[in-house]
Amino acid sequence: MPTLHLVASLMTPGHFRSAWRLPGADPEANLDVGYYVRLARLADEVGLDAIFLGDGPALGADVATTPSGGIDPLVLLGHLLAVTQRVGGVVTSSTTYNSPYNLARRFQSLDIVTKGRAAVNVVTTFSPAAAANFGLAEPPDKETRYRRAHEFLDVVTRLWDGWEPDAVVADKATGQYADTARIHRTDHAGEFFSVAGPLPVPAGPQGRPVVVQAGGSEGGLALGAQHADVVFTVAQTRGRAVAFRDDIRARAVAAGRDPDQVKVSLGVVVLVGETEQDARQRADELSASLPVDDLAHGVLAALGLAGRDLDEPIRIDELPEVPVGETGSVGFQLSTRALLAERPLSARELVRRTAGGPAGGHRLVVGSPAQVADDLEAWFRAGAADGFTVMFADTTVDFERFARLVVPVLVERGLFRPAEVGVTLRERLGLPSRSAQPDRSAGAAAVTQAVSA
Amino acid sequence: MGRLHLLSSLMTPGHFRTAWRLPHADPTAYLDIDHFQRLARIADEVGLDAVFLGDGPALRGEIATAPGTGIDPLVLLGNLAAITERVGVLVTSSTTYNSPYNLARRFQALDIVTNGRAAVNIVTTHAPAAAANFGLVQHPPKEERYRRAHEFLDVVTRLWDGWEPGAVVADKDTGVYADVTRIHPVDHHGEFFSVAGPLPVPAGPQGRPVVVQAGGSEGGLRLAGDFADAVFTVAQTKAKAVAFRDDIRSRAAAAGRRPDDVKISLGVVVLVAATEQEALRRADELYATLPIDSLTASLAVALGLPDGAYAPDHVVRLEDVPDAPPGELRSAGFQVSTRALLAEGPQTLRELVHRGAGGSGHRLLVGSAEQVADDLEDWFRAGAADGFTVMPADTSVDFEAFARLVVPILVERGLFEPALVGSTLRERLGLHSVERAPGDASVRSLA
Repeated sequence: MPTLHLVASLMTPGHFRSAWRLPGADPEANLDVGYYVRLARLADEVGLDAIFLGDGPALGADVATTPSGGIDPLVLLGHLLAVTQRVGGVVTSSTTYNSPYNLARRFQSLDIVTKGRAAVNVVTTFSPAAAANFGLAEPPDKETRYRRAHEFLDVVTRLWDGWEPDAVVADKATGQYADTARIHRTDHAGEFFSVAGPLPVPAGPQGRPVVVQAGGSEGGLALGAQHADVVFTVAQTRGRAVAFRDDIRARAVAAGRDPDQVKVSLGVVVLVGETEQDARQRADELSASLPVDDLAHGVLAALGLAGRDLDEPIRIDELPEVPVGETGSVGFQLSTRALLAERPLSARELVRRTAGGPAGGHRLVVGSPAQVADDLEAWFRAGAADGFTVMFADTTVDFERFARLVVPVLVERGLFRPAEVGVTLRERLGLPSRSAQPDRSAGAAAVTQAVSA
Repeated sequence: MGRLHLLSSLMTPGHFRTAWRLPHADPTAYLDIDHFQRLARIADEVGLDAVFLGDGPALRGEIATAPGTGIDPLVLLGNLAAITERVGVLVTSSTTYNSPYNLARRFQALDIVTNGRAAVNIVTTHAPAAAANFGLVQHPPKEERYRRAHEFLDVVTRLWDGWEPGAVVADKDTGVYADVTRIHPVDHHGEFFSVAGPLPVPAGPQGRPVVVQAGGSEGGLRLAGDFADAVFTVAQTKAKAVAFRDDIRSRAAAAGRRPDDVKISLGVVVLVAATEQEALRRADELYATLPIDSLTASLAVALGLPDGAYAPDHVVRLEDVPDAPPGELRSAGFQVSTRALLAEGPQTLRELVHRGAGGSGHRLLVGSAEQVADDLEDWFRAGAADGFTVMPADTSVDFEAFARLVVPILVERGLFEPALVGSTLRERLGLHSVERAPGDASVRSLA
């Protein structure tokens, strides 16, 4: 039986966004690098595969009530990887608001300085607030964003592959430093980008940093099947998760890939108590800190049921055919529908089940360490996921509890193997190495010495 | 008398790019994080103000003979700042090939995670190869690049100023997290950018990260006068350096700033050894690694000498060199600097290559630790600079030699004060803290 991977989110205060209001909470922990360093060192100590930060380049509209948007994740995770030795870093970056040359170069650099622990979580960013920070009156439509993301990742991976492994000759006697015939331009000219390449330096230990993809729409799934090493997803029911994993694996095969080369990482929000009772009590405290009515109204709007009573159970057959697409995440909507297909729930119940997240949100698991481990084991054995992206109800409490109390249980059961120094993130995830291959295809011209200085 | 600041370049193999050919050199050190971490720890230990990396987003043709552009400097210096406590980091970024929102956000983040040790070195990028990596057929002309840089820095500084101190309320009873009337968007609509703002989080310890500017053209000098906290410059003669500093200070005054708000950091390539004899021997070794014929030929072109073949021992006089710098082949600062050198007397092309540290163009200083300290003291006392950006000739040797041999002498003479934990880079450089945008009625808030 293979082992599962564990990626842990550092999102602070937690997936209960109002956790900053709890009596013991430091409301500005989300700006405190010392706090993040402590969590990263803990992740490193127990051997988690990676730490993760979601991101969008804008201030969120709800800053009046909660920290909304964080420190730039490349800078923050770059810092945390510098003070750790084992744990990988999954950095969310937008293909809509970056250029492929800069992004390819930054993640290649991160891979070099971390000795093979870099991963990029590629998102297309649908927030209108982000668009306005980059000169756009409104965000591009979803189809356009994913067309751009496809071209973006195509360029980025070719940039990463630009230097053949033996391109650096470094012959002290002759003075030849690099064999420019083994350094390949990208020479890409497409719909969105023209990029000559190559990158200034050869690849890091992973060849290509790990690529994670998170979108659940048709465009996102196609992108994931073609380019992603890991697909990060949401599911409220096991049936839905198994079906999703089967689907993404079939799509990978259709794209000419080995299905085991695409790992599914299922998002789950955990709240761990010393005992089940302790966990229940903390869940009640956290729920009390939520603006439940506001969130429930948001859930109803996202489901196309605005104006409905917050306590009235919603049956799946009542749901209108939601115009999935532009306004919200498709994955979250599908996930919520699957939950309602099992049994009717009111909007307020939906908010509680999903950690107060957007339009349904990730599944919340509340329990003792053994119960949380049981749950993850059951889903993993059912084929629901290759591993989990663990998010925390209250990060300041649950991150450490998960690391210290749940991880050892998973290790003891042979379900998880702690990361080791000197092993790349790609190796740990069971992904094939993607070192640069000589590219003799059309358009892969050798760099000439005529490139002007 | 004030104290001088010391920044040190990490460029590897060194400002003699061919230093990788020396017997002791690891030719791939410029890709080795352990190498850079070792240097950063030395810098931290002796209390240098900052470590620095130049940059341009492209591979250049010289890769056939030497490592050029390296690892992304934000990622590399971010790593080094994480494993040190005192030393600042000066990261070169292009205003031509970045967006102001992303850049403002990254440097604000760097300032937060380093507890106030972040600085950005703003360049407009003159490598034409970079343009082709960002969808441009042609590199934008210099005038346009600086117009963009002006608008860019205007937007970036306003983004940094967007959150008033006290904007985060975090009242657990009422559930109010931030007072949105104290968070201000930028709402910028200009020639190059439309940026709404604000940034997602409040400012770090410095308010605004330190802004360094490096261009010596008219556009660059104007940019420096308006925005820079420090100007990185090149000078081969003391008189030229003094005149440059006076010029920048008067430009700052003309822009309504205090002259002391703009520090001059003079580039100098240092080759230092325990004795003068040893330093001279090492210099000869380094000269021998240079591809002198091709360097001579490109220098002849850069100086605007008439077309033709020039031997390394060809003697150049000031009157051989055309008055107007030949366009955009080379930066204006280097051109003026070389002319100043020729004004002192004729030089062979070989000597010019050597004195320009094998093509870097900066002044080469070769000597014992005492001699190097004497030179820096002399230039500092003459008003040539507020401090120095020290560029090691062979970084694998000279970085540590400068830190361990020269810095203690400067400290002993009272010319340099090692950095302390807890002081921001802005404070160490003697810069006034920047007042944030006031929450007056003219500034729209989010509410």
